[in-house]
Amino acid sequence: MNNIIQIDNLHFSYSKKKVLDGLTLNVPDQSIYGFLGPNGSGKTTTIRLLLGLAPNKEDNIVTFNHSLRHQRLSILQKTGALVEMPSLYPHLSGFQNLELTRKLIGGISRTRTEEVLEIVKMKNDAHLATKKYSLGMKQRLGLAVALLNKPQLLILDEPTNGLDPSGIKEMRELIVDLHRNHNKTIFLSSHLLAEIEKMATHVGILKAGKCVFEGKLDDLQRVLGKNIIVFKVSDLLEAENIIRAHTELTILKTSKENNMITLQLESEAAIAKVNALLVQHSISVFNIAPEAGDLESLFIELTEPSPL
Amino acid sequence: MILFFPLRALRSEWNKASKTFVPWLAISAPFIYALLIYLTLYNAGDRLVKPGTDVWPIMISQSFQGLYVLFLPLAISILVALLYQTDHQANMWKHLYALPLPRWSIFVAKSLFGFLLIGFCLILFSGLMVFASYLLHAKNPSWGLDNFFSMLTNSFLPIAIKGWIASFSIWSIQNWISYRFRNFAIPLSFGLAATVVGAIVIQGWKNVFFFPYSFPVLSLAEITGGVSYHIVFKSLMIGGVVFLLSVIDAQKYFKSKAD
Repeated sequence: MNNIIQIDNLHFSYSKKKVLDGLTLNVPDQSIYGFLGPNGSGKTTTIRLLLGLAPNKEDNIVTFNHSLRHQRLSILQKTGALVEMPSLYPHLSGFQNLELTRKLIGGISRTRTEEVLEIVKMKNDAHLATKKYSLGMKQRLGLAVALLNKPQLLILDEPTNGLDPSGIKEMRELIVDLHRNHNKTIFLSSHLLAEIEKMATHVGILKAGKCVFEGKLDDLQRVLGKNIIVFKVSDLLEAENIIRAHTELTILKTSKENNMITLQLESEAAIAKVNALLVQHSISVFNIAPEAGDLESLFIELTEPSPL
Repeated sequence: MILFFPLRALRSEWNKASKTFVPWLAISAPFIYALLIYLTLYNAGDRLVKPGTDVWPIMISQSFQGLYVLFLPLAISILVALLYQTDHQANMWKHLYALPLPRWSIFVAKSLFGFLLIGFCLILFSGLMVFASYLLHAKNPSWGLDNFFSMLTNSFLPIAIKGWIASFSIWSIQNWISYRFRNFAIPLSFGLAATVVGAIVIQGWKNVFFFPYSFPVLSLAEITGGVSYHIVFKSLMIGGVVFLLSVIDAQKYFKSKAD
């Protein structure tokens, strides 16, 4: 599978504050790529850089196999974007807002305006001034604007943020529909794992400006589904031997200085079992603690309850 | 396709602005100003006009002097700031600058719309003043206000168009500031302050010929006084440099996160 977006070692700072610190991403063609990260981790900045809305002196963003730095306009011809709040003139109707952008881009037939309204299911409200729209309607119209030039790639920044539960559901269905029935590659940012899990085929997780995980959604679920537990024991070597002899557990690592052994365990019951096993073999267990790995601590941040 | 872009962009600027306060302002400001002058001359004309004097020069100075010293610089500040305010409030820049169009072209098209609108206001005002003269002529035929069409084409329109070009440098400064700052108060108070300074320095500061906010009234002095300060040239030079810088700024400048 080809990558539609390739970012290689991207750095970015806002007035000396480091936002992106060597970000590397690969977004496969025809995927819904969930770009996940806590608030302030650099998601919007990445999206701004992807659209050329933030300055980047390096030549390290490649989209549609073209360098963004050198061929920005030809990339933007194939890209639709919705960054943060949708940009709409409140005094104009949804239809007029669409028409403004359609005329500005040029070379798009008028029927396309009707088509995109149909896709986002906004035909009935198209002649209402957008100041009367709910946030959900604004987001859908913003999406319609992004679809005007029939983009292959859609870049959506937190499209469900601030929506009510029914708005979130509608937006989610719309995104899946665009992917499935209109063959769009969708790059989607969110700070909620639950939200991404419901739509994405691929996931990239951003923390403090770095990508700490990238892969298929299934791979993420595999990694996150396990507990990584550290045991501090009196005799490391003996403990290692006993665990190997009596269980089929994977020993992830051992630390001789601290007498610590790190295991991947399926459940809490397994922790009790290992503890009992060691004690039975006269090995003292001083401490049992989950490892505060990058991904795990991030996982806690990302799993604050979703509204749906 | 890109060839027709300026036309498309101007049209879409018009579509955007037509539903706002801007066209009302662009029409009502010249109308109200012309009405005020008409009412003044209608009521106090006998005191202002001595028998036997040529009234046309009075009409012309009444029309353009106050306009060019105060109201035109102020109107430019307000109109341009209002036009950009619509875009700032709708967070439009991130959308516009992510369209497959060169950034500078979007900025230039948006800017030119404002400048054309100012020209429209001035031409409308000239027409209205000649119409006011026509009404005054009906009341006071002895004033000799006739030859309306040739006055329009030979005096009012040339003064209006020259004043318009002389205001290019004011416009280019206000245009840049209004684009750069989200806060409506900044271009407005800058325009107001510069206009007041302009009204003061025109009283006799020796370097007034290089102060853009005094250029329109100096261009009027060139026509009525038959002197030359090269105002059109200076306005185009200063305005041109400022506008070029603002275009480069628009091409390079990335709006802050808040936009």
